[in-house]
This record gives sequence, C-alpha cells and structure tokens, in this order.
Amino acid sequence: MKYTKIKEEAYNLHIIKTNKFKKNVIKVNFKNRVVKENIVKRRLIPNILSDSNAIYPTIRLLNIKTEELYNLMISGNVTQSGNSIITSFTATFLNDKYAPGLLKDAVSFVSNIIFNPIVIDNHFDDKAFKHSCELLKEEIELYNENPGSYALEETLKELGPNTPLAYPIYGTVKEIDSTLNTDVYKYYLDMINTDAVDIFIIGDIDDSVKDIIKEAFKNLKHKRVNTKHYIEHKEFNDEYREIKKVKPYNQSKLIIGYKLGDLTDYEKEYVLPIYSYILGGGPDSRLFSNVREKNSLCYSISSSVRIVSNIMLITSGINASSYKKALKLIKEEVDNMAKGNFNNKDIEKAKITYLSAYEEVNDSIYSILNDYNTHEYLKTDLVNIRKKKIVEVTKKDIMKVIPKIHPEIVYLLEGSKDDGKENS
Amino acid sequence: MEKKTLNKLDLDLYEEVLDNGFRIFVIPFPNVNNMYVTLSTNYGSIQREFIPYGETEMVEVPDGVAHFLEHKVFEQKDGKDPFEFFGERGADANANTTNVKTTYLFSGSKYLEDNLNYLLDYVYSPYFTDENVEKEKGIIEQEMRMYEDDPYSVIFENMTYNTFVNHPIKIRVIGNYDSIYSITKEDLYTCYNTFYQPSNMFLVATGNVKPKEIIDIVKKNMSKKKFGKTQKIEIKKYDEPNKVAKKNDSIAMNVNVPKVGIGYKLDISKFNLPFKDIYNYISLFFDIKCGSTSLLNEELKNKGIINEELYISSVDVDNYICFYVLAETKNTKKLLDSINEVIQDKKVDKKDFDRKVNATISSLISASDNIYAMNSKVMNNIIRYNKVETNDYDKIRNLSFDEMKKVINKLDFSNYLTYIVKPK
Repeated sequence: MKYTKIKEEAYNLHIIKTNKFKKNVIKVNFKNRVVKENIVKRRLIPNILSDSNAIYPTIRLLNIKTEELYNLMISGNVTQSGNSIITSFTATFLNDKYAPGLLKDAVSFVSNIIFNPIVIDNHFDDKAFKHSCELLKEEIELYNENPGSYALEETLKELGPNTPLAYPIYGTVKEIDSTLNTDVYKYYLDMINTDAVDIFIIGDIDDSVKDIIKEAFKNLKHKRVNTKHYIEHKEFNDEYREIKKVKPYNQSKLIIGYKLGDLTDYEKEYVLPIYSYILGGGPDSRLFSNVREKNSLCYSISSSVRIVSNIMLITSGINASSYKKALKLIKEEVDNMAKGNFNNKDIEKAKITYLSAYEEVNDSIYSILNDYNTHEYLKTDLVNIRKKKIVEVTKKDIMKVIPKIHPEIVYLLEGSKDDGKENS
Repeated sequence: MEKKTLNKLDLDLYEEVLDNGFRIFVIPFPNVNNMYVTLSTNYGSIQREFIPYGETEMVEVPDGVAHFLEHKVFEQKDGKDPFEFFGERGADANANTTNVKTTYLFSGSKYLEDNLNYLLDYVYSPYFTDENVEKEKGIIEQEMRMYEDDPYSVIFENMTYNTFVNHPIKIRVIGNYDSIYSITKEDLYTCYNTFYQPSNMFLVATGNVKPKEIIDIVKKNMSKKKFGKTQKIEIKKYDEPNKVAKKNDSIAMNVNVPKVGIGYKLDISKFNLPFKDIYNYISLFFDIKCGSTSLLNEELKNKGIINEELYISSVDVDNYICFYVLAETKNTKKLLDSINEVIQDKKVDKKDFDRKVNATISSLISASDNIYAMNSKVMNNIIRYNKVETNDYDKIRNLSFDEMKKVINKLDFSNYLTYIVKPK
C-alpha cells in the first residue's frame, strides 16, 4: 500500500494505491464550519444534484447510467462532525481488471454529478428542489419517530446547548418551508468555491489517476481555508440532571451523558477509549454483565465516546419501572471505575480488542480510506501508529482521565406502553 | 478434503465431511488479516413440531425456543462467560437466529486455534438450569419490545404472518410474551439434543485461514467430544394452501410517516427449473418493475407519492417464493394500487433485463472481496440447497430473457396481500 498526498491550489488529493481489492473508491469531501441557518441548504444539495443533472436529467436515467458503469454505487452524504459539516460524494466501482477503462468514466461521472446540475436563472430545477424539500421533511419525521434517535437528539441538546450539538441534525420543517430555491443555489456556489476540498481515491490505480482527477476537477480553482473540528466544553455541572419525557413506545430509552474536560490528544485517542471499553464497550463489559446479565433489566447497554464533540454517552433500552434500579446500577459501575476497581487484565483485554480492530482496518477499502480521512481532519494517528501507542496505556493514565469525565444528563424517554403484556 | 473453484471470483472453496456428519467449508482469502468463523445448525423458528432425539412421538414446542436457546447456549457450567473468552483474545463474538438457522460466530485476526476450539467447546456444552432460564426472560422481553417499536420489523413480521396459513415461517422468530415466559429448561434440552447433533450442523471459515489447519483443529476437537448416535430428524410437514392468509391488514403505531407493503405469494411447484433460476427471474422482474431504474419509481416520485426508493425483499419456503415491496408514503392507497398495476402487467423490456444481468454480475464480483458476504453465501446455500453453488457467475450470465418471460407469465400475481402501518 502506498499513500501520496498532493496539495493542489484548490484541493488536497490523497492517492492510496493497493491491489488488495476488486474495487476502487473515490470520495470527494466539501468541508466548512457548521452554521445552524445553513444546515437545511446543505442537506438539500446532494439530492438536488442527483435529481436534476444536466446530462442525466432524471434520477431514473442517472440510475440506469450507474448500472451501465458496472453497477457503480454513488452516494451523497452530509455529516456533522464537531464544529464542521462535511458534504461527501462517494463512488465505489470495479477496478480496471474487471471493468477495463472504468476508472476514467467513474471519476468523470462523479465530477459531472457535483458540477453539472440543471440551472435556470440562478436557481436549480424547481421539481428537483421541491422533491428534495419533501425528502428532507420525511427524513426529519422518520428520525423523530425512532425512539433511539429522538432520545439521542434531545440528550445532545441538553449536553451542549450553545454548541453545534444542539443543532437539529436535519434542520427543521419550518426552516425548509422558508428556504428559497435561489438561496440554495447561491449556497451551492459558495460550497463549491469556498469549502475546503479533499479528494481521496483508493484502489488498484496508477499515476495516470492524477491527471484524470485534475481534468475532472478543473472547476475547483480558488484557495480555501480549513476549519477547526473539535467542540470544547468550558462549563461542567458535575452532577446528574434528570430529564424525563413520555411517548407511546413499548420500550423506554435511557441515555446518560457526560462532558469531557481538557483531554490531551493521547488521552482522547487511546486512554478514554480503553476506559469506555471496560465500562460498556462490549458483551463482557461492566455494564453489560451487571445491568443485563446479572439483573436482566435490558437487552442492550453500552457506552461510547464521541471524540470530536468531547462527550461520552451510556445508552440502554429498559422498562420504565426498572428506571431507578438501572440508573443506580449504572452509577455504581461508573463509581467503581472511578475508585480504580479494575485491573490490568481488564486493560489488556481492551487493548487486544483495539489491536484486533486495527488489524481489520486494512481488510476493508472503506476503513483504509476513512483512516486517512480522519487523519487528515483530526490529525489522529494512522492505524499503524495506533497499534504501537495503544499498548502503552496504563491504569495510571486511566485514573488521570476519569476526573475529566463530567456527569451531566440522565435522559429517560419513557415508553408509556412498556409495562404490561397486553401490548405484546 | 475437496477443493472447488468459485468460478471467476479468484477464490477456492474447501469442503470436508467428518465421520459424524459434521461439515466444514473453508474459503481462504489472500491479502486479508481477519478471520470469520461461523458455526450453524439447520434449526430456526420454523422447526417447532418434530420428533425429539431418542423419542418416537411428535411434540410441539413454544414459539421462540430456537432464539431462546441461542441466548442460553452461552451459559457455561463453570460460570465462564464466552464473550469474555473471545474478548480476551481480541475477537468479536455473537450469535443470531432466523426462521431457518441458528449461527454462533466470531471474527478476529489472532488466536485462531484458541477461538475455534472454544467456539466448539461452548456450543457443545449446554448448561440449562431453572434459574438461568428464568433470568433470561427479562432480557428477551426487552429485545422483543425493541423490535415492537421498530415499524420496519413490525411490517415485515406481520406481512409474513399474513402471507402464510399453516407454515410456521409465519411466526416471529423471537416468539411472543406468553411463549417466552412459558419456556422451560426441558424445552431447551429437547431442542438442543435434537437439532445440535453434529450431522445437522456445519462450520464455515473465511478470510485469513488455511483449510488444512481449520479441518485439523475441528477434527481433533470433535474427536474428544462424546456425541450420541446420529439420528435422522423428522419435522412435521405442512400443507400450505396457495392463498394468502389475510388479504388486507393494518396496525396503528407511534410513527409520523405511514409505511405500506404489498406482498405476492408465488407458487413455483409447477416449474421444471432449478429454484435459484426461478428466484433470480422473479427477483429481476421486481427490480425492473419497482427498482431504482423503473418508470414506476420515477412516476411515484414525480407525483410526490414517495420520496425514497421502494424497498424490495423476499421470503421463500418449500414451493413458495414471496416478494414484498415496501415504502413510506402519505398516500397509501394510491401507492399500493400503482405498484400492483405495474406488477400485473408482465411486460418487460429486454434492454432492462440485459443491463440488470450485467449489474448483478458486477455486484457478485464486488461482494467476493468481503469475507462476511462470502461466509453468508455459503451458509445460505447450505441451508437452502444443501450444497454450495460454485458457479454463480455463469448461473447469472446464462439467465435468458425468453425463459424469464415464460416464468413470469406462468406466475399468479393476483395472489397478493397488503399491510399498512398507520400513525396513531
């Protein structure tokens, strides 16, 4: 595997050569600071682009073209990551051994999707705009009807009320209704011309790929500025604030949220993940064995960290009647960790799990790409370095991190139908 | 050990049958670090009436036993937690139950011998007590409630229920509240002793594995275990009528966007063709008619009836293949009518057929990079055909347009059912 980064005037090109896979992947990222008022516009763009391309004017014709390109898979996604928002276009396609000449066609297809929408008098095609608005409204409704995602969004709002954590992931229906087609087009031009752009291409490719990309992305001209990723918290409650909401579900969702204080890069990348793994990382974790296995209160329970947002979450699905007991058991496990009631065996087990996961990174074309992508944005170590550094974590390191994990929120989405067998 | 080549996929399959009837399948992947090993029994929720091992009379067991058993197989007499064992070796372990099979699995990049031996050890050392069976009920109840809040699980399970009259494929894999709470350790032993005989089970290893090493480890391990005499398993046969059990049905749930489904129960007993070919023709037909390149999809989007693509899925058992088309819409009647109208019109364009065949081949090549996808393929082949198909490539390549027309023309698409998930 060979990695090359080329800094062009308007974008970074990341070439990862490997002959391990039967396919290649190209990912084009547009990144900027997340601004609440622009989330809706940003979300509308990928769908408008796939719905009204100048060469493939309907989604049907576009899908037919992807099948003709040996079933090329393309997707446009918007991801909020800390203080940043990233629009990415990803295409997966067979490599030239299985589909001769496809590389060039695939790259130009992706560029065509991004740069060649139907535009009339400084706005997008009305039908595509309208459809994209409807789709986004539906996404909001679907997101809110899922108890897990609804409870999560509410918890995040409470955790970082003055940060992008509190922004609605898809915007709001009201915002969609007041968004004009011309505004979205103007925003699209801004995105194309001012966002930081990174192009990743991975697979069985040779040096000709540089010229292919250069030609396909010649529309990108101006110099761009990168944005800061991490959300940082300054105020901490240091006690659990309980919030309850009732909805007619069969199961209640319990989320406990923590804010992270001033962690070093090493602590974020290595120490905290090991702590979280011991607490609630897998089916042999403290939470799983005590709340589920010993007390039969839940089916799922886990803890996870979100480094870019500097938060940690414990999530579970329970019966509302078990709420007090479950919370007590969870707090006990968290306290036990703080008292240092874990040993080197627990730490070693966590390390082995991470080492094994690191080994797996190089088995998947997407994981390798993401490894370089994360490295580019967060300056995190690449997997080969991570393998060496994670083994150095000690109990002392973990004990030093624990006081920086600040308890904040206990959120219960109470299912009003969760306590009787009549619903089953 | 028998070696077969998976045609045009640059992979080989190795097969071995042990004296006790246990089968082993290995597909080594060059360039991969990870190993994925699955141990399956040909036993799922549909085997609910059978002659137990060592007996002569048919018995009926409570719904959900296969899944309950899957949970309890992890219980060990020495109190050791299998998840902990695998966790200590950096492996991910899990298990799952479907209508037709139960699978125990692990993946990891190291300690193959340890992990493989332990997989066989814990699965072949059942330890069920009144106490540990009782303890599991609360956990499974929470798992069931989680699915009951998921409208996609609900619509799919209820449509399957309404499709079939007698066949137990209609019954939810997890069972229901009453059946779960009625399960005893005796039920578990009855099912375990009958269906976990080595002759009813098989192991599939894919990834960074050497066939001889795998086979030697399994042989040695099995030779140390005591198994009863192999007994042929007799399962009740069901006389399933042609007609769907319930034509139209609906449920009210806590959703914002209604979900609808239309399903076709197709009797294929009169065809003189391999099952796989018939299945492929029907699958292509639904893809052409309702997939992302269909006129229907475009028309429904243009009219604002749907925003996302239609979702196609299938269930097959004995001589029935059932295809379901599912979607989200606020115009439920119009959507169901529109889908049904295009399905009743059996005309298909050859251009679409040719393009879809090529796209299917490309997907096949692309999936052959993936150790999980190839492992699943072997498992599904064994369960459905009792052998592994080694020439999927030519099977798809040789599909003929004329034959497809004949198959489609013979099928009775008037035998359909609909289901609606309405907002409360």
